[in-house]
Amino acid sequence: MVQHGFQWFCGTVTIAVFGEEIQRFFNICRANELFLRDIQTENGQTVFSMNAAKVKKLKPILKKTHTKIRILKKKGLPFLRLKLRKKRSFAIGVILAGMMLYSLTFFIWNITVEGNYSYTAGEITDFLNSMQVTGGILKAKVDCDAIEKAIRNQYNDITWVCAELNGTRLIIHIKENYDTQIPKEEADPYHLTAKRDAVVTSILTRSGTPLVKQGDTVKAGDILVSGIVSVYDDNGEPMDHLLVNADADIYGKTTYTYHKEIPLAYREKEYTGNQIVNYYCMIDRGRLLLQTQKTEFADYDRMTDDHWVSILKNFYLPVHYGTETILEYRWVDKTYTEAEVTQAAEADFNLFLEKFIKKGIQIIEKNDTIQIIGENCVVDGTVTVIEPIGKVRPVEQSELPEINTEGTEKTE
Amino acid sequence: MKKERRLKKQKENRISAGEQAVHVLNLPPDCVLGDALLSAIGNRTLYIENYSRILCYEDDCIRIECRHGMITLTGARLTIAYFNAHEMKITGKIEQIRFS
Repeated sequence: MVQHGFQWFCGTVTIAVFGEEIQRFFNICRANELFLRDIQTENGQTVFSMNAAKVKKLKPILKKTHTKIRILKKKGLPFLRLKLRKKRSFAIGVILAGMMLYSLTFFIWNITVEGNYSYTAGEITDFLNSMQVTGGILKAKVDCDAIEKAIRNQYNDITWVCAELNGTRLIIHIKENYDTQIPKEEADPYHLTAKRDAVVTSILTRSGTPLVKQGDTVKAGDILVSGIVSVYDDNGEPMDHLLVNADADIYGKTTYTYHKEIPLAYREKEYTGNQIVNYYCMIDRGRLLLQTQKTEFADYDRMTDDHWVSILKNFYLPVHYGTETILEYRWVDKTYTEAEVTQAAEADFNLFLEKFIKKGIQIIEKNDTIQIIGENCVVDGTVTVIEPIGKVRPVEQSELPEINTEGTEKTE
Repeated sequence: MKKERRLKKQKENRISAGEQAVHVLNLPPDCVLGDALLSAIGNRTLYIENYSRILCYEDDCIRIECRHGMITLTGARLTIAYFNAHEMKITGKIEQIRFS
């Protein structure tokens, strides 16, 4: 490939040779270090290819061997330059277009977010806009490390961020954590307290003083593992206390209740089938509408189908086009049938259960009752799960036990 | 007459001193004796090194002179892809390679 490119750059000619001493001609070319390629017989004549710049050196050899040549084809950059001499403006246009395309590669024209689940791409992009990172920004001004840090600080649920500059695209890869309670590193010592009423099913203490054991019933706010560790002397009497960050894996059985009322009467959108299609073209933020029709619908949905112009996969240009479809609809009053509302209620309850499943929480029991009371469908349910119940609470000064001079502990 | 023929045959079958040295000392024959070096890929491509000149080129026959004889290639659509002072490459459908 490289060799072909080099040959095209230097220019190649295909020559037909005639005469009696063709072999002698080839041998003398070889002795004079003239590199001939692709020697073959074509339409009854012997043809070969060689570098365009060395054709003049054939003259004495042709005279010596009494042979003649005829140039059949000319290929390459030197011959293209000659052709373009007559079409100067075209050549200048091509060069200017190339320079313009090259200058466009110094900017970011497209920002994409990948891996998002609960956060929309628009939300992340709006946040980036607030940091002055928008389409049209110079690549040199984009600080990927700062963007990653800012997104991690802004959104607690996003555990991993990677900002990638590829071509004229800025791609933000994110990974979300479904468990919203991310433990923060506390500087001060703390207890572990119960975040809900629960029955302790297992407790594994790594630091601190455990105050509960397996099987104990605890209420929300009760201290499970204390951050105050007493130090005892040889007589078994407390002589001092240490403040630590309580650390333990505490699991408990808790119950969640679920209640929802779904009205039987509801309104639904019904599309009438009337629609208007507008075409547009945008250069960066300047919008040019190519075909517009006035919207006369009372209620409508607007759907936009947008396409970016790109030369390569990651080489986007600041031009995008698309269609805007306006669909008319009207509101229709409807009533759920018993089967429909039951199905909807079950789907809602399953969605509620899915939150626990996504967090990896074990569900040990679930019950739900669906009743139609008056004009509503009432769903009541309980879910019993085993989940981590520890919550951090700083140690308060008033909780510290007083040690008297005899070494006995006096707590308030 | 018979004696002359017998002597001629003996001369042809005799191994030269150079060949003996190559055989005994395990030296490369193409460097020491100047033999042609042929590398073939199937019957489509043939590389030849250590040759003197081209004697004949045609679409179905190429004759090449080497230091110790001649190589004749016969086939169809024979093309010399390139040739220079050291090496040549022949492509096409090679049917026969003959040394003489």
